[in-house]
Amino acid sequence: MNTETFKNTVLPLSDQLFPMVARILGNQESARDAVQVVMMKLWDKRKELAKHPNIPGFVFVTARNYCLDLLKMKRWEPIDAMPILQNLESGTSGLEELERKELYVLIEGILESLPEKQREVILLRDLDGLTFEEICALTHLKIEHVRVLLSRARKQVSVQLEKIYSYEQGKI
Amino acid sequence: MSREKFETLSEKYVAGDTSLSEEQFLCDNAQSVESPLKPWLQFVNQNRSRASFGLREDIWQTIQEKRSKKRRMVVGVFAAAASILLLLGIFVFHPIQQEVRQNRKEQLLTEALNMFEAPKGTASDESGRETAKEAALIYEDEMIIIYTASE
Repeated sequence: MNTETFKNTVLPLSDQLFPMVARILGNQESARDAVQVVMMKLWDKRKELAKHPNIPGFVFVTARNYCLDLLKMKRWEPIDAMPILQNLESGTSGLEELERKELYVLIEGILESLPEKQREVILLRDLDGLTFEEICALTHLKIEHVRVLLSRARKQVSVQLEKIYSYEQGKI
Repeated sequence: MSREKFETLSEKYVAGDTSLSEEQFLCDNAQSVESPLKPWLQFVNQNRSRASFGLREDIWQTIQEKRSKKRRMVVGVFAAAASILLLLGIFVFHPIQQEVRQNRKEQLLTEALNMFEAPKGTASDESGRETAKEAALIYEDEMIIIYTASE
């Protein structure tokens, strides 16, 4: 793979990698560094990369594995100051912040209740914004299976949220 | 955005048939519509990380720096190798040895010339003059010597 091909095919994937890396590491600054390191690794391996049948898939798998390796490191402590800074800048009130925290706890609970594969697929699609092809490459699942898992996960989230909010409204 | 359009897209979304752009559209408009999916779509909208500005350019810059460093290293290695070769060349083929060779050539030429007998009877040659004296002298002056020889 020559320089121009790398620049046009692999480098643009760094923007797509970022949400997934940031979610896994839980830290935007570290995600930026991690994406850079992954891209440098891929640059060094560009000759081998050219022969790979699914380049985007390989790039995503490399990035995920690198993040998991980072998380395995003993001293790794994901601390993200960005949301706090953003809230301070936007002047979010205490009540809004409290509501947001409640929503996060609620959603996290629903996500935890999902089967592992469903949770993985819904996070990759909705939070990381990956295409079905990229999800298939990461999970080693067929596209039909991914669609089924995603649909089940979304239905489950919808049903759970409806239950919670109907209950709250009925109680009020 | 109409409620009907949102509901149609929501059904498509739950079935897993929406495109990424349609999903983004749903997230962007979730605030204004009542739907069981609203909290989820809000959560997604707030938590979806987007690559910070200039990430791609920064990475490309780092790659370019790495490339130029590598190039400089290669040039340095080649320069060092060329210098070593030059020094070796000077050491192996230095001018003193060439001078020795020149002396040796002269020595060999002298030896070769000495292998031939000196020419007899040549007027300009001193040894020839002596030989002429030994032979039967017919006439002699400052300019010319006439003598007889057996051959």
